[in-house]
Amino acid sequence: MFKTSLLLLLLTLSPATFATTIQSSICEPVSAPVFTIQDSTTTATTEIVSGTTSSNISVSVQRNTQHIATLTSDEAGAFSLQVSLAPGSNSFTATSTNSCGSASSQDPIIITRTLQQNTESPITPITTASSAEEPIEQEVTPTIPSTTTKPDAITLRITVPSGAIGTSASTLITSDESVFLKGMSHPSAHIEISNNDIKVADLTAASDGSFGVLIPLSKGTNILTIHASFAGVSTTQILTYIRNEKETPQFTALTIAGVALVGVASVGLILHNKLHLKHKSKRGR
Amino acid sequence: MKRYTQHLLVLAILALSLLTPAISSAIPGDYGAGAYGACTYNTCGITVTSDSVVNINVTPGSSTTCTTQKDSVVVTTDSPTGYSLSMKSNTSSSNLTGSSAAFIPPTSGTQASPTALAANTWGYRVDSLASFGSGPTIASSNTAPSAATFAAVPTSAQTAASLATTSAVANPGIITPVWFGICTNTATPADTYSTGITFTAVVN
Repeated sequence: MFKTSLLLLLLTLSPATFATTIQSSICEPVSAPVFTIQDSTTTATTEIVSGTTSSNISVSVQRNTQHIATLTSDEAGAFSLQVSLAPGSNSFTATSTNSCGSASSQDPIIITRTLQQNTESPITPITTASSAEEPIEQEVTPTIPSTTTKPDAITLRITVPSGAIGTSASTLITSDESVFLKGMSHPSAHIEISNNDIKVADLTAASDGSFGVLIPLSKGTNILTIHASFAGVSTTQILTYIRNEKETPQFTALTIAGVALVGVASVGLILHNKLHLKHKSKRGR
Repeated sequence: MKRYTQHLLVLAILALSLLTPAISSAIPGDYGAGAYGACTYNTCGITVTSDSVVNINVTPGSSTTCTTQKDSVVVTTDSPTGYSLSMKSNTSSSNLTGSSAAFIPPTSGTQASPTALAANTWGYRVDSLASFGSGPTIASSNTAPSAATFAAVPTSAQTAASLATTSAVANPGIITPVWFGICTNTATPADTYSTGITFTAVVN
């Protein structure tokens, strides 16, 4: 008995275990971003670049190989961003990335910003000793003194897009799948926008402080948190969008003679004034 | 009465064995030496570790697309008789399940008769084990199907798949590369699919 107990004691060694998760994300192929621009040559300091790619995908936008914004395409795959333009050539590229890590980039598009006469400094050519005959263009961004020092406070003003109906100061109702959010903040401020605590856009305000980006809206409540920061100073605004389903309007009452139509439709849905009526006569028995 | 005494004696030996390392460490020159039963001083146990998550992501193209990734399973023990490593699913199914009703079933292959992965199946392989062949398997993402053969991970109700058996001390730990592969086409809905498996290591 004693020997058996001792033997069991020596042989009883607990097995070691380790749990692992095997995970596989099966992803849709990524569509290369395709840009749409308003003007390839402009005198404006900003321009809205739009594009399409796969739906609900992260899109990184670069200007002259510098990352300027990360945003999320909407359900239709559309994305849009207000970009600032430096004098001269502005080359934009975009990269779409899905959860499988696949990425797709398109050839760059060029927007040339020409200078208005007598209003701006010309581009300063820089010559180097090694290539004196071929001047190298350098981008000259308008200098704004306030961007070089830490501000006491920064402003953040959101322009509420038309088409939405407000129920309170910061709550809006729409049936659109996305909203183009425009605003003004400190020049070159870092703007982060999250929707229901999920970051959907990350961009830099233009040199005049303006910014704009297409934000996809999910069905139901979308709490948009817009956070602007510059040199360690920040401010936040919250905007709530309620996205309703687009529904076929249901007429609950109809008066032909008085042209009174009573019905129910989604808020934000535009009703066209085409009315097709079927007349069905009832003959008496 | 005699049985009671014997039980007391066993308990006393157990208590002594727990106290001994503390006593040994107090004796200059003896620290780190000595043996207790089948194990070397202070390392009588066995440990097994691996990656917490193995990602085998796929972006299917127009034809069947495959991804194969490695999980390095490390077993450490000072047991002079070595260890045995095995693996099985945590659930009664070996499917990779998605957020909806969709799932990816395991391959029909077994260790004794592994098969190349068909479209919309997944499995594991260990180079040079059983009938898997020598490989070497190489990590790949979004590639065409290969001739490498795979087997299904056993369900929780089945006998665990034996992955390695040794007969000597494994300190530092011995790595067993376990490869997980998947092949899909556009028939599998885009989603994140997963399952849990458990590696078990026991001293021989």
